Amino acid sequence: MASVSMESQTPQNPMGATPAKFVSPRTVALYAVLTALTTAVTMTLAIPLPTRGYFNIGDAMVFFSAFTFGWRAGMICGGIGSAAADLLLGFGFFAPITLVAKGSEGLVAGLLGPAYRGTTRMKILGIWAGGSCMVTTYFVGEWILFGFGNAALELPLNVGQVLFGGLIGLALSQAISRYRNQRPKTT
Amino acid sequence: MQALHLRDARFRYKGSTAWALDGVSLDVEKGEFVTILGANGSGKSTICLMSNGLVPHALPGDLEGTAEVFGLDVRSHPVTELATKVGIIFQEPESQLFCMSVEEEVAFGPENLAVPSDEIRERVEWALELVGMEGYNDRSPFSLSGGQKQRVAIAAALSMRPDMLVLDEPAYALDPVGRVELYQVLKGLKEHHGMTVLLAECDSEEAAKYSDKVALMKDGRVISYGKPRDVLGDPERLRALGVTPPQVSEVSALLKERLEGADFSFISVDEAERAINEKFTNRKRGREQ
Amino acid sequence: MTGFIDLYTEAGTFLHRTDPRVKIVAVATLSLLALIMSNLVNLLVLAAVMVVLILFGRASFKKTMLAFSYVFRVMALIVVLWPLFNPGGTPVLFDLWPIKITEPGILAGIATAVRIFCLAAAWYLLMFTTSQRDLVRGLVKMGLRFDFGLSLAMSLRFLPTFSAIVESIKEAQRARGLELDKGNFRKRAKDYVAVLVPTVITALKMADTLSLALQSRAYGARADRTYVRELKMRAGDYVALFIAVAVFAIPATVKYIFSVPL
Repeated sequence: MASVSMESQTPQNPMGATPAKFVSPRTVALYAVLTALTTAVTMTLAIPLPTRGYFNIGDAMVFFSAFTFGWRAGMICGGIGSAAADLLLGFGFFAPITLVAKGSEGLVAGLLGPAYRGTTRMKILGIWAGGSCMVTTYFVGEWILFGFGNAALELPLNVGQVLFGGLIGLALSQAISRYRNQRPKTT
Repeated sequence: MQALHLRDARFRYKGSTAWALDGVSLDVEKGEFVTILGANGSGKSTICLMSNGLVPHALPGDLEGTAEVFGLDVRSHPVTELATKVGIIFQEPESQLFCMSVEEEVAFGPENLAVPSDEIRERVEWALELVGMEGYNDRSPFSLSGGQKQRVAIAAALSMRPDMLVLDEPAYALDPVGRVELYQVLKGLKEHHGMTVLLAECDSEEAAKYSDKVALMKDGRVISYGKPRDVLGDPERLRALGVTPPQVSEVSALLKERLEGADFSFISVDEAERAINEKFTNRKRGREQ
Repeated sequence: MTGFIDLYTEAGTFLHRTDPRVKIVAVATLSLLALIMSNLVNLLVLAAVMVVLILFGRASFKKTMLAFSYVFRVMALIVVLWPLFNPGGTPVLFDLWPIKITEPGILAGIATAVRIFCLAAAWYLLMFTTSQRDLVRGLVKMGLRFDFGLSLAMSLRFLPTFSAIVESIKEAQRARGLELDKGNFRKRAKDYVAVLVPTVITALKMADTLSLALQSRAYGARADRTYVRELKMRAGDYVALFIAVAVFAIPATVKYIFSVPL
C-alpha cells in the first residue's frame, strides 16, 4: 500500500499550499460529539433484558440528532454511534445490521421531522417512519442470522424500544431547541 | 512590532447588541508575561480569542479599530495562519484535547501544517519535555489529571512553534497543585525560551507573582495597565471588579489599617517578607538605641 | 449496564502486532466463511480455531466473559427456538400439535448457534487485540477520508467523557429524588429526559470549544497534511493477509466451483 509522501519543502507557511477541502471544524466537532453521545447513551442508559442483553434508549439520541441537526447528522451519528455501541459491548457481528437499521432510522426521521417547520406532528410521523425502518431492518437481519424464532421474539421489544426512545427523543429535541433559542450568542 | 497591538478595538458578537470590547487599547511586547484580570463578561476572553483570529473568523461580529498580532491584521489573516504565531489554551481541560493519545494530540498541529513526520516526532518530544510530560506519549488524554491535561494542551500549542501563548483562565478547573505546576511551566517558557505569555484570569494571586504587567478590565475596557504592584495594591478595588485579590495584599491592607506606622503595600510573599522584616528589625533597633 | 467498556486489552502478542487493516480483512473473510458453511462439524472446527486464536490474543478473562455472555444468551435462544419454527425433515422426535420437533431442526439450530459464535469471535479477535486508535488509523489508511476519520476518532475519545457525564448527572438527579428504575412508561421517559437534557447541553458546549480548538491547531491548513505515525505492512502482515484471504477463498472455491456442500 502506498505511503503518504511527506517531502513537502515549505512546511512553515500554511498560506503557501492549498488549504484542505475538509468539512468544517464545526461539523467535525458536532458529529463527533453526537456520535459519542449516541454510543454513550446506548451503553450507559440501558435496561438489561434476558433475550439480547439490553433494552436501550439509544434511539432517543438518533431521533434527537435527526430532528435537531438534520438527516445527515441523524444518519451518520445515529448509525455509527449505535454500531459502535454494538462493537464495544461485544456484538460486533451485529454492528453492520445496526449501522443500516439506525442509519436509516436517523435518515428517515431527519427527512420527515424538520419538514413543514418541524411541527410535533411531523416529528411523530418521523418517529413512526424511521422506527419502522429500524424495526424492519432488525427483523430481516435477525431472521437471516438467528432464524425466525429469535426475530419474532425481538420484534415487539424493538417496537417498544423505538416508541420509548422516540418519546424521549421528541421531548429532548424540543427542550434543547428551546434552550438554543434562548442562549445568548456571545462567549 | 508588538506581539499584540490593540488600538481602540471594538468588537460586538453577531446577534448581540452589547460591545464585548468597547474601545480597548493594549500592547503586549514580545517576551512579556501579561495577565488580563476581570470579571466574567469583562471582555478578557474576547481578547484571547482575537489573538489568534478566532474572533472574528470563527466567532463573527463587528470589529472596529486596530487589532494586530505580530504586525498581522487579524481581519485579513486566517486562524490557520495566526495559529503558527499564537498558541491558545482554553479554560476547560477536557474539551480541548480531542485525540486518542497524548502524542497524536501534540502532533496534530504540525501534521496539519505538513511538517515532515521525523520533525514532528522531534517537536513532540521537545514540547512534552518543556511541559514536564515526557513519557506520556501513549496515554489517553482522558486518563490524565486536569493539570496534566492543561500542560498537554500547552505542548500541543508549542509544537506549532508559536511566539506567543494565550491562555484563557487555564487554571480555572485545576486543584492548587495543578495551578502551581501550570504557572511554573509558563514561567520557564518565558524565562528560558523568550515566550510571550498572555493570560486571562479572575484570580490575581498568580498574576501578582509571575506577570510583568497586569491589565484590569471592566465592561469591555482596560481601566488600568501597568506593573502588578501598581495595579494590584488595592484589594477593595479588585474585589469591586470581580477579581480575587492576592492574599498577601489583603494582609498588607489589614496591617496598614491596624498597625500604626505600617505603610505596607506588598503583593507577593517575598515582598511581604522583606518589608515586614525591614520594618520590625528597624523598630527593634530603634528601641535598642 | 454502567460505565464504559473497551474490549481491548494491551499485550504484545502476534495478534496485537498484526496490522489493523489485515485484521479488518480477516474479520470480513472469517465472517463470510462462517456464513457459507452450514455443516455442524465444519462450523465446530472453525469455532475451535477461533477459540485458540482468542486464547492467543490474551484478552482479560473478565472482558471475554462479558462479551460472550451476550452472545451465549442469543445462542441459547436460537437452539431452543430454531427447531420449533423449522420442523422439517425426519426423524420426527416429538409431535404434539402445534409443536413438532425434528432431528434436522435441532441440528440446524445448533449449527446456526455455532455460526453466531464464529461471527462474534471473529469480531472479538479484532476488538480484543486492536486499540481504537489503530482501528481508526487502519480505516483511514484503507480509504476513509481524514476528516471523517478524525471525527470518528474524536467520538471514541469522548465516549468515556460522556459516559462519565451521564453517570454523574444520573447521580445528581437521583439525589434530587429522581428514580430512573421506577414508575410507568411515561414517568420513566420523563426521568430519562431529565438526565439527557443537561447531558446534551454540556456536550453541545463542548462541541463549540472543540471546534475552536481544532481551528487553533491549524485544522485544514493544508491539503497535503502529514502523519506522525504511518502504518506499514511488514512481511508478517503480508503473510497474515494471504492466510486471511485464503481461508475464505479456498472453501468458497470448493463450495461454489466444485459444488461440495460445506
